[in-house]
Amino acid sequence: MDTVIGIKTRLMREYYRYFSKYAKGKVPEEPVAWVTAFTPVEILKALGISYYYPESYAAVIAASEKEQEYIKESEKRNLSRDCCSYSCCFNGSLLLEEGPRGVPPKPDVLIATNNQCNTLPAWWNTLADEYDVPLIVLDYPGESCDRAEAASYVKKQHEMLTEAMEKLSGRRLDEEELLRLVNNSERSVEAWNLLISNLKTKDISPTTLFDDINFLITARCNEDTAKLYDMMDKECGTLEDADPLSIPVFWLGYPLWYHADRYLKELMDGLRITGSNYITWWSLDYSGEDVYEKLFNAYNYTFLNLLQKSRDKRLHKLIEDSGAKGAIVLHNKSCKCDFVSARNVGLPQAELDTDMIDREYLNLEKAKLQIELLKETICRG
Amino acid sequence: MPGIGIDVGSTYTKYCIAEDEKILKLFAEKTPLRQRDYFERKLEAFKEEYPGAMIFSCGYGKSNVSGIKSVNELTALAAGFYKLTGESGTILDIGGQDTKIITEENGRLKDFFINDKCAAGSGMFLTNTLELTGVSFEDIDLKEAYDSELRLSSTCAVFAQSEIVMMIADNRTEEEIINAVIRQILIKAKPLLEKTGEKSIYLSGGLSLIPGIAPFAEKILKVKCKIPENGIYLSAIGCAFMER
Amino acid sequence: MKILSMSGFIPEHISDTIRFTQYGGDRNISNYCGYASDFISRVMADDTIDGAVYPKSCDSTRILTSYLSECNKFLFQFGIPPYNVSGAKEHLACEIKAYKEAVEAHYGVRIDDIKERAEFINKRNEALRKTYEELDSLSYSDYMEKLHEMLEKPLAMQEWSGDIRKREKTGKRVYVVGSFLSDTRLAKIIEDASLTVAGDDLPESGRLVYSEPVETEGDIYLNIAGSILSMRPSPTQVSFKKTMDHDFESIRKKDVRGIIFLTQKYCEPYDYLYSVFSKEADKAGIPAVQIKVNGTEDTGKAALALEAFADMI
Repeated sequence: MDTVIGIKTRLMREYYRYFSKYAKGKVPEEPVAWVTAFTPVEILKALGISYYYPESYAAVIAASEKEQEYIKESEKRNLSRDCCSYSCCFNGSLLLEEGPRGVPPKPDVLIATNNQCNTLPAWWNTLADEYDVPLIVLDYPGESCDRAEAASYVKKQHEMLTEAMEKLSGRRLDEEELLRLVNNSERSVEAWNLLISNLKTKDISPTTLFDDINFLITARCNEDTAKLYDMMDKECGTLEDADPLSIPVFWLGYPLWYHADRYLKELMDGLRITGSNYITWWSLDYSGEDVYEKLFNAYNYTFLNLLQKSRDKRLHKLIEDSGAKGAIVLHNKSCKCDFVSARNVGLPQAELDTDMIDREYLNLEKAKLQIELLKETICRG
Repeated sequence: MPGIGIDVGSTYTKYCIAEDEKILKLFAEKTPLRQRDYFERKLEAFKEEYPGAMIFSCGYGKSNVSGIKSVNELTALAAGFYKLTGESGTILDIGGQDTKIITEENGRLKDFFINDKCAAGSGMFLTNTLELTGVSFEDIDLKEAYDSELRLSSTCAVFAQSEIVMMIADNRTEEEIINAVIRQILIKAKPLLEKTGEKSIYLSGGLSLIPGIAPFAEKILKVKCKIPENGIYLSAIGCAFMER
Repeated sequence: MKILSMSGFIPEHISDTIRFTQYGGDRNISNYCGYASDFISRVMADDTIDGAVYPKSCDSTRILTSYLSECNKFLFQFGIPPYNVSGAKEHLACEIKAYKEAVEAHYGVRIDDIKERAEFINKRNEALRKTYEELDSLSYSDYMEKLHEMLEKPLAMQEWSGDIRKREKTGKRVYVVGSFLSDTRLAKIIEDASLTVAGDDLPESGRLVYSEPVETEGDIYLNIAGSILSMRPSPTQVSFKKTMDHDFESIRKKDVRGIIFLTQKYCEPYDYLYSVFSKEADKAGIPAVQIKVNGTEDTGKAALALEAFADMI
């Protein structure tokens, strides 16, 4: 009978199977794509192409305390430290041909999207240069043009992607299979949303959610993912209720991947995270009449691809639902696209200068002071 | 024919008087505020004392030394180092305004790296700290520097300033604070240094005058550090021997 | 109608814009491009400007609207398609049409002279190209100053006479790679270092002059889009291989001895490009120097670095 740990182990084993630490020289039988976090992977999976996420691995590197070494290596090869730490860290690991789990299997194709930021396609170009493989960039216009035009443009690109992946895999896309996978992703999102709704009232560790969203990112069209989250949600029913005396706060920004708790737990005595925008980023909206509309809605309207007005609206709802009285906002050196989300949050904030990968960015004493001030402000209010 | 080199730095101007391939004199004076008048008088005095001398200037203030040829500071640094040591090598120069690393081959500039606009990576950071702590530059001595655990966590001099104020309030010693600042300046230089791949370097510039700086820097930079004699005069020397 | 524009992707064929060059901005957003930051400052503070048009082509421009939304002026953002994306031309044509309609709606005007404007731009660019092809015997600083002056004027006044001060070539031929050269003192510094600029791929210069002329027959929006997309790709269009193919072809043709990579700090497309560009330059045996500036009125350590670079090559 499946257990939470059993499913997690299965999914992780599947994902890391061909990383050099475990592969023992074996290479995947199917073609390999390296993709950015909001790539329509359902298309790849339907064609039997396996995919890996350099951003996720950068998080693993930071969690394994190796990020400084790899960032320095990238810097030696002229990749500025001003660039996104995900890229500096991951590229450094490739240059040294090492990592906490080795290095991922070599790509046959690189796929980057700009529905998160414009850094990712630029980063992917450096990988294309390193591996000399085709690079496909998908352009998601977001809300910058009318919906019908955006849908038509995105559909054309998804069709182009399909054609290219058919050539790579030697298979034809089965649209029913694609729809099945999209429905799996939708199911995974539903299950995840139920799970994270426990954060407000239950004593569930934010660390668990920051870590376990990984499956939604890397395996959302896998049936196991929805099953996993359903089981975790059921388990929440057995958890204690959250301490009613603790002050609810909203974590606005990335998890700190280098930190054992992924957030500054040691500075947050008396505070409790009841909401986070990061854990909602992959709650993609797969609504639509047909599979292409579903993919369009899911991937064109990702949070970081929305205009400020829409972000404000979404954030207000999330914050309201969380009951948060204050926000801890991460002024992330690697992601100005995220930080700007906090402009109109309308809550007392502690704005921390930090980076999600590079631990040297955080001044712990200053952060402590800011969080203390936030607590005082909330209590006085 | 005598040759005179003038390296106009932000804090000090260094001079080298040379003749017949020999260095006659090396001296430094504080760079004044009114530079044009000062250098006019200086040049007049030089022309009287060393008639027919070829004079070259370099450094940030070189445009204030009017009427003579100027040379790029890094080119002069490369030439001066080679003149003094006869060696090819890599030099880390931490001056008042910035930090530079050059690689030099047979007296010619081969490659160079300059840090971004950042006060935390230059002597200015130390100057400001000395003011805050009331210590004079001449009193800094790293010979007995123990490995204090005190570290600056700010990567920016502006934020580090407030950290230093808090350290003073926490009764940290001046020695600990100054060591932490010098450590931070060297740490800022590390990424530039790593681009050269060198395992052995020379230190020059104002910081090279600090007793004990070489072993202190070795611990932080993880490369062998040497200090050439008359290390602060390298650019002035390069100017004095500049090819006519 | 005084619309401040940023980027060579903005279609001047639709309406007059003032190309943004410099501004002493007080807005200091950390880890953010100084050029974009100064652009924000000018839009917010300069009462003579009543609108802004800008691309969504990098992390800094992507979030410009977030910073400008309180200015209550006309705002329009163009999504810039990456190089060679399916349907890019048609999509950009729609954006151009939408821009035209937005300008008309906001300013209460009718825009019916697009073809004439396109013809004018074709002629202007042709004249610019003739000047560009003689770059190595001209004063680069005079060229850049006059170019920037021209781009700030209404289109009808953008006659390019090609009357640029001549300058003796030096053997130290360089190629300039970078984003918009907001501070033309940098061009002067390059000349003062006895360097001769043989070519560049700046958006207002080398990239602009090689764009294909706009066909004025047929679908004008599609044709404008085609012309814009025919420019040598910017690193923001994220095909570094194509960008470098063009650059190195020019570098070889123009017998260049050194490359100057001149960018804003926190400009991530150029930072990423530099990491691969410098490898190619190494392979080709051509020294390259990267100079970063902060904002539109900063020359940084350019003088020191460029002089040293000139001594090296």
